[in-house]
Amino acid sequence: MKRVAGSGSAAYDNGANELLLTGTLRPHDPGDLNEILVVVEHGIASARGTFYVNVKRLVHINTTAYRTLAARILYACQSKPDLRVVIVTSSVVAWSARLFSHLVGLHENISLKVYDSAFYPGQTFVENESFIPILRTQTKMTWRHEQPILARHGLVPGLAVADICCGIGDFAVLLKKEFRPSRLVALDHSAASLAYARRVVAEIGVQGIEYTYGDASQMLLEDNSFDFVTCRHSLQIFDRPEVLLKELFRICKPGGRVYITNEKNSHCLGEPRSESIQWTYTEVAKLFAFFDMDVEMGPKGIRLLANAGFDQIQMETFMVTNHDGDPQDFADVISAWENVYAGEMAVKRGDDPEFIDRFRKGFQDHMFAALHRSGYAGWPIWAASGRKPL
Amino acid sequence: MNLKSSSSDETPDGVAAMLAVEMDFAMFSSDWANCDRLSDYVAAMISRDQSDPVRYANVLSSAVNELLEYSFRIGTGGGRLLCEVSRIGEIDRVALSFPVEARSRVISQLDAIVSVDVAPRYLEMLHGYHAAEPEDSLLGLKANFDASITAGKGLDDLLTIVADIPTQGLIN
Repeated sequence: MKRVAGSGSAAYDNGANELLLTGTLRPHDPGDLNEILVVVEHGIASARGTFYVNVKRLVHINTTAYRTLAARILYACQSKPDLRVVIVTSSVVAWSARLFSHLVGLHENISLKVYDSAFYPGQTFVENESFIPILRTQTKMTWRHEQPILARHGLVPGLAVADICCGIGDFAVLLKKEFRPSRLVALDHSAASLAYARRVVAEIGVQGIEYTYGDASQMLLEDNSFDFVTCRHSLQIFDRPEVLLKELFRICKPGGRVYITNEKNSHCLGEPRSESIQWTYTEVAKLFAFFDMDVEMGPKGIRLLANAGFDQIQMETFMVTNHDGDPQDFADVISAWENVYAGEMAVKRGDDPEFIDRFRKGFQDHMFAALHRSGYAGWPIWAASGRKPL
Repeated sequence: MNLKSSSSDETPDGVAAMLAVEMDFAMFSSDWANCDRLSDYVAAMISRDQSDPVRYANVLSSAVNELLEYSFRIGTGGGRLLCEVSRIGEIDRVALSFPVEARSRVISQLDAIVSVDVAPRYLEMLHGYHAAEPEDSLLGLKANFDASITAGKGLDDLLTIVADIPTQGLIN
């Protein structure tokens, strides 16, 4: 009789004093966890100061495994009185914080931390409700280009599709309308964005989009579930894109494709006033790098996908410009960027007023170019996709 | 395994079942992983009409799995395993029926377990003050999922455990 269920695993990071438990732990007996307990006990023996038990990627744990883990953690506290144990849970897995809060009652050295907003360091800058109209405009501007690109990358009606890091969900609505997927899951870690998305689809009467609150680095979605997975403008604001790509690979069916888009901000351009514009967008890239985000990622898409195990990689570039539609839309987007990048991020970095004034000037010149009757303003985007090998 | 999802099916207390899964108990209990498989399947089916089906299914699977693991550990003999799920407002009602020996004695034991003040008992369990018991799964169900649990006699000499789980409230 098979006596272990689930695909759980454990790893210990010596440098971080962190035990990472992932997947599903549903053993029949404590002895079924022996391989995992070896890692747990190594962690306890090695840890000094604070021992982190990271369970935010733990999808399921049964009472047998929980009781066994609790006993080891309690033993750690009793045998090493100077050791503090911090359990790190996730707000995504709804039972997690409550389940692990019981451990706090076992020993005074055990505490609990619910991991939440730190997932995308930069996301907090654009989660303000006032940014939503700009996000919608951005999607409208990029969709003109992406609709045919998606088709060239293999998206056809009737596929099971996941839009990971879906934000306010407007791209998912367009996917639903234009590509009629058999299943469409749209995942984001922002509860506010998802609430907005659900409100919009209810108002416009679109049905069949499964919006879900989730951590893209450890999704609750099953392996090999989707024919086509999209992840737009998100790898570039994630400090460990390879972790996210590994998850995208996992949920994609063999033979299915993962489609990503990213920018190279220093290549934003405009005429007239090109020098000022170029200087500012080069500084945008440096500013994001300061916050551990790589908005120069676009052309790196091929390498990222190849390193993640994809084959048959395709890449193409498109330029969103002021000539695509209403130039005011383009200018509005740039204005929003100015407010967030110069008005919030540069301030948070501690930039002096003189720098911020020059930084703002480039955005204003980009808007000037966009609205000039003989001007040209561009925002380049790289779209890439790879096939998960059969 | 027989799968039924007819609204005409009724749980033991007369509530229309959204889903009923029936399988031979000997087959179910031949593989521990069946608890995992069946709980994930049931949860996924029941969660499809929810605003966040993925997280809903994750919670419901965790809860149903505890029930199934309990049945795996104490169920004996021939007969069938029947898992029926219905919804009453924001409560998911899971009725699990399976064969046991000395059914009346098991029901009495369960009545004692499900009526205890769960918090101190659960902490005692985590402290390791008593040996592991099959009923620990039900304690976990009460302590972590706010489940209301009752046990009674089902059809065909089966034991029926009914767990009311406020899934919607848990994911919010």
